Amino acid sequence: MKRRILSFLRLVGYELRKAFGTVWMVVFLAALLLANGWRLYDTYHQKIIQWEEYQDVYAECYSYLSGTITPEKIGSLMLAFGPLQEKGLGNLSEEYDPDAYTYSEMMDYSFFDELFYQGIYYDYFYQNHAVEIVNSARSLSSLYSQSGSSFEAAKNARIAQDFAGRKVPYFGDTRHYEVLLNYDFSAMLVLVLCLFALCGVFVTEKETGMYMLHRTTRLGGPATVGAKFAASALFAVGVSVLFFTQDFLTLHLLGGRWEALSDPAYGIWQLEYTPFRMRLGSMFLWLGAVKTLGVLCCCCFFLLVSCLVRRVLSSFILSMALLFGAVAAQNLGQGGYFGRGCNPMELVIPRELIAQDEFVNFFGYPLRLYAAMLISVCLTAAAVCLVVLYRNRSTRAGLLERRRRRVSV
Amino acid sequence: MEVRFERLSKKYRGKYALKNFSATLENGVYGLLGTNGAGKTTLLNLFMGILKPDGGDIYIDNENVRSMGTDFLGRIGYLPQYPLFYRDFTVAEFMDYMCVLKDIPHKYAAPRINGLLHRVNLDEAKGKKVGSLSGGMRQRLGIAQAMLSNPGILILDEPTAGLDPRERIRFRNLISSFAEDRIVILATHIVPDIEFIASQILLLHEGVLLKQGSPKALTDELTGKVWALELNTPDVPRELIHHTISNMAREGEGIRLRILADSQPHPQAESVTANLEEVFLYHCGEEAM
Repeated sequence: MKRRILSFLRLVGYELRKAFGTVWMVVFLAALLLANGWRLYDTYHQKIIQWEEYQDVYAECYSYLSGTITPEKIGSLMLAFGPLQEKGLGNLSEEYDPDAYTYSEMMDYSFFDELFYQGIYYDYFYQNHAVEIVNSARSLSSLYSQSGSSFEAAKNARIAQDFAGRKVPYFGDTRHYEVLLNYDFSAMLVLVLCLFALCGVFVTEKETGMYMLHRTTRLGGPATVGAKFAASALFAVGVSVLFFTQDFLTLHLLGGRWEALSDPAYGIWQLEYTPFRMRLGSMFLWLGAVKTLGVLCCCCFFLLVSCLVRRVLSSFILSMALLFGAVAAQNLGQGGYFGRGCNPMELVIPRELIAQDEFVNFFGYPLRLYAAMLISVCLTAAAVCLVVLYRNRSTRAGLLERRRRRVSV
Repeated sequence: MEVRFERLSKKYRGKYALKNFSATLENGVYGLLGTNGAGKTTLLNLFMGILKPDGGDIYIDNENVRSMGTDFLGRIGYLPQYPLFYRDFTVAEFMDYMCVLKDIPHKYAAPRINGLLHRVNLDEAKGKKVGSLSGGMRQRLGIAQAMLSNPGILILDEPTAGLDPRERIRFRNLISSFAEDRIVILATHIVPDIEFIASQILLLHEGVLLKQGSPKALTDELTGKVWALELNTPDVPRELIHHTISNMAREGEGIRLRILADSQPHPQAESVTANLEEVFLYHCGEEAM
């Protein structure tokens, strides 16, 4: 048994070597990591860096205003921001003002509004907003119960449950994590890398004639197919972890704040209606796991294409077309629940999925949309894996026969 | 060791690729000779379990291979037609990978690899990439991997196709050196490959086993059917054009012919000893050439 496990592990090692252990792949990986780093910095530059010149003022204000939100802190903020707000945007001067915190009245307004007021306002009033949602959901639930609509009643009851007791008592700088939440470039790079690496996994054996040798060896059948799956999964998980960690660390090193990770996930306005009650740090871990799962599901499709065609180039083109199709379908929101449930891109870019407290009617039971998508995409990927296994099982005495029929014997 | 094929058949779209093939093989080199599409590769694929037969059975030492499971795979070594292997692997890596596939314990793998690479004269190419090997070196690597599990049956499918004459001779000698105490099945349509090394020839044509015998027995069968003729004319006389001419060589102003015919085709023709190519041509017709 121990020898079998060792043999399998060595097979996995060789599968990794075959598909991913080439100089080109290493160079490509390094190039994509650099591209991702550059893109992260560029995004940071566009979204955050414009206040860098006033970093000292910001640090001073932040050290006072961050943490638990108190009436004193709000009062201090309004002391500086209130007069500007009352004056109105149209009446603010853009001329240099020696008394301004930054450069001019207009710039002070933007500075306080963007960096503090909006955030603190959102956090402070989130509790009230949550209470409104809970009350509204409860009344809707009882209304639907009376009218006999059990699904809608149960759905609203769950919404009330989700939002009950929500509050954001702390203010923290979450700008870097908002960028991270909206950053999809790395996921696309991971998919491109997986596509390059996996499009040849099965088809290369046909092109090199090695599949015939595999069939005549003890471990060339199911064990090798299993090793190919394991190696592909290891690669996909490895590069996903590498790129997603790069995203997090880069943005964090560019000024992200640890304390913001302790905020509730719904502390970010984009996640106002998220069904999750976890902290922002946990949310990013969870998101990374879901994205990685989505990448794995995409890889199943790449492997399927690789075992169906006869040329690496065809496999690459078809997989690329499939990937573009999936991205386009997700962006256009095409396919309804069924189409979305088969599209692994829903997991690779799950932002919208987790931002809304949506439910699907699963035989009268309100199943959360993200859970339904997770289950259905994973089931689709499992079905794809079964087809791959079946195709490789049938190769033993089927694929070859089909091929030989084409070339008259 | 004994391999017995009993009425083995395989059809593709209703047409027989192999029909009622029966033969018994014992230790030695067997040349599986036939035109392209004669059923050689089909027979090998049926033997190795890659194809399912439509009828018939295969026995090794009186045991049906169907009941042997994967143990059967440990008893065969196979070199496929036109193998490319993995271009990015080094020779040593490829051999080690094949050891893993063949489930050879790690501790036995290294000495076995070194021994075989030495035997096929590739020990200095151990660190070279497979993609950088010449056709002949790749075929030698192919036979080395086939021998890794020290199999009782060695199957070689068109092993010399595309090799230059020097490599072809080298490879033939290698096959002979590996043939001791095992069955070597060598499928080819290149007659000189097996003429000197095969102890038995299996002549396949359109899926049917036409002949089985030693090269000498097969050539002896054609006694009185192969004729040599030297003429002073530059062209083949009209009365000979409907005969099968196995060889034609110009010599000065004249020509020298070898003709296949059941009776003397020309008054000056002399009966000569047949060679294996002529046996092939006689049984398989002119399309064999």
